[in-house]
Amino acid sequence: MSLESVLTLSAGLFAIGLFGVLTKRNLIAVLMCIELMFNAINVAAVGISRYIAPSMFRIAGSDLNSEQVDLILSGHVISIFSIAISAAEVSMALAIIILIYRTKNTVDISDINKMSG
Amino acid sequence: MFEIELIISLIFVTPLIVALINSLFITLSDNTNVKIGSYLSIMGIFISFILSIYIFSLAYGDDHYKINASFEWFSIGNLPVLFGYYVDFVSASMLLVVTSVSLLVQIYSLGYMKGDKGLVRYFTYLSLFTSSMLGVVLSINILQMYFFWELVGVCSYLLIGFWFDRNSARNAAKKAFLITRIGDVGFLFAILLIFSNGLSFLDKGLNPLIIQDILLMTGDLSTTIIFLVSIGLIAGAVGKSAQFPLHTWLPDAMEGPTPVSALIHAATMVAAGVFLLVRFFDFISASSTSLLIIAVIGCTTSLLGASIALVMNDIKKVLAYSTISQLGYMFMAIGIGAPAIAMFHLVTHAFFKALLFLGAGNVSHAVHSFEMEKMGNLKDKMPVTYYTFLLGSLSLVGIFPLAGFWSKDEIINTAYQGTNLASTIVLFGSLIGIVMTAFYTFRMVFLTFNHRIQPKVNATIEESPKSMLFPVAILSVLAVIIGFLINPPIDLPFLEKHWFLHYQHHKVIDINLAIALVSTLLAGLGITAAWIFYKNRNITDRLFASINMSQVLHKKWYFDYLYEIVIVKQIFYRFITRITQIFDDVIINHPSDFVGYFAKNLGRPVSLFQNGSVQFYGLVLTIFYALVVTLGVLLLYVIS
Repeated sequence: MSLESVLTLSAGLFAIGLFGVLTKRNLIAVLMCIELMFNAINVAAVGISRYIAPSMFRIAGSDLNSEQVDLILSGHVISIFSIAISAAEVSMALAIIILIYRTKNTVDISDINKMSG
Repeated sequence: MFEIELIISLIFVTPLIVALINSLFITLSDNTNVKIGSYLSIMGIFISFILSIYIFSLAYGDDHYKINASFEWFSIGNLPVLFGYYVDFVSASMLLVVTSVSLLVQIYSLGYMKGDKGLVRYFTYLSLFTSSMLGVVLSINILQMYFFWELVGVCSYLLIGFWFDRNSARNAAKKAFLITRIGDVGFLFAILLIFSNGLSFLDKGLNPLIIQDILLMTGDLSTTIIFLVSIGLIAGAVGKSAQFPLHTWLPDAMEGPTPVSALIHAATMVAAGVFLLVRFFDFISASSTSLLIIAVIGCTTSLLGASIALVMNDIKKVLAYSTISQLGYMFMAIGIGAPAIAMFHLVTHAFFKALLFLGAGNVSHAVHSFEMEKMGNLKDKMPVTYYTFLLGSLSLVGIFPLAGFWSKDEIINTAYQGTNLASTIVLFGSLIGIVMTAFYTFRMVFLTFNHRIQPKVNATIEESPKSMLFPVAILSVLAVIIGFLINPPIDLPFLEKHWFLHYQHHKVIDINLAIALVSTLLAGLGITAAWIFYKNRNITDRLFASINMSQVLHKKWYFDYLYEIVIVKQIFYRFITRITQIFDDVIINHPSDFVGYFAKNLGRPVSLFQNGSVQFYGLVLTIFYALVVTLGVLLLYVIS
């Protein structure tokens, strides 16, 4: 499995998520698509940390010390961190959606246009 | 004795203070207030009058009487602009004329205006007017003089429009104010022109705004400057003294109360123009062309006014045109280089014209109209008014030995002695004027007092109250004797021969019997003609109606038509305002409109993006971001 295929997967997921965000009329679906975009970023982060960082050090031609190992693993750590944050954020977003539903009695995004100029 | 400075200041300040005090009670119109206000006003002017007599007696005793004092009003750079007074013989006599006529008119007003609601306001205006007129007379500084000059105009405006609930009074007030303003622009122009030549004054240690300094500088200014300044001053005088071509406001000014007409529009304010020219005579006379212009203006106005007075049916209009005509005589006197005689005629005219106006006031008070159509046969009903009016009329016509005779005769005599073009014009103009004056004056007397019987009206008519007869009586005495007293042709035990002219350093010409005879004969001719024509009115009316000339005169030579319809409505509204409107539209409005339109519509295309749909924002954001990234990548690619 090469870096290209990982990045292609990430870009595909991101594009699908973006398309969903821009076109879906249901707020929940929009939220799900945002999560999809998050995960596309996570995939990219993991893939890059897997393929690019070790190859940098291999060119240096020596064994890896603990600092270099930390650096290699930071991409993984970031994606786990990001997953945790997105879980928290989803709970917030769901709460907002529920509030919107209570006040406006709808979750259709095209009805929520109070910000027009 | 009192300080002389204090006395002169008091002459001016007393009526001003009275006006200020009265202005506090202007809205109150119950009886006590009216009484206090009017008596206060009369007291104020009486004090001024007494003090003026004192000042005049000082000036009379001293051949070169000059007194002045001033304080700094403000300064322009290093140039102090002074506020103060300058009194010489001319201004001392003017003070006396203004205060005495003003005093008599105010007393007369007590009776004439009795019961009017705005009486306190009326007396406030009168006091303010007297004060500002005295300010004009006393001014040391030309700017100060201009200030009071305008203030006099304001008072005239207020008093013409005193009965402001009448449309005609409002219009007349506006007309008077605006037309005199045209002349005042000339006056202002003259002041600015002198001021712009101020450096040559400062080199000599003189102040370009002080009247006497301007007179001193006459020899050092170029003739062009002198001519232009003179034209400006003449324009100011022409506006204020209702001379051709700015005379049309004065007849309309008769909308004001009759005492006001007597005081302002016959005796004092309209004489301010003459006074201005007399004050600046040494300056103006440096240019013989300006003197000729003054003479021609005076002659034209005199004949024009007299000719219109021939056919007017309103007694006050006759007197108004007569005033215009007599002011023309004063201008003629200045034009032939005799300012002292202009002052002489000013003084005599002030008294007999005030008398005639007050007499007309008596008549209208009884008849409740100014139309001579509604009068007639008042001789027996109002004997005092009739005889005093007759004296005033004879004085106006210039019958020996009444006041008008002496002054008018001096003008004709001086013109006869003169050799230049101006003198010739004035000689013929004044002689023709005498016939016309005699005719219209006695036409007025006959129509008002004699010859017709109107029993319906006559029953209620009675003589005026004493407060109205008293000033009339005094004025009639003055109208008889003042001409002789001011300029006695022989030495009297208590007065020198020709003292009034002597004190103004005028070359005295002895009375010429031939001239006196000719002028008296001409006057007699006019009176006889009036007698023949108006003995039986019906014939005359038919006769006059058959002459087209009479129509021209009735329309006042079409001057009102020319000014109001042709100049204002056609030329000004249609032409000049059209041009300025185009200028406004093209140069001012359109560019500024465009700026606003541009700013207003600038945001419109952008605001289309602000449609409130979050997903649309997201889409725009994405596309824009994608564009930036693509461009950035392309740029990097190109650079590398």
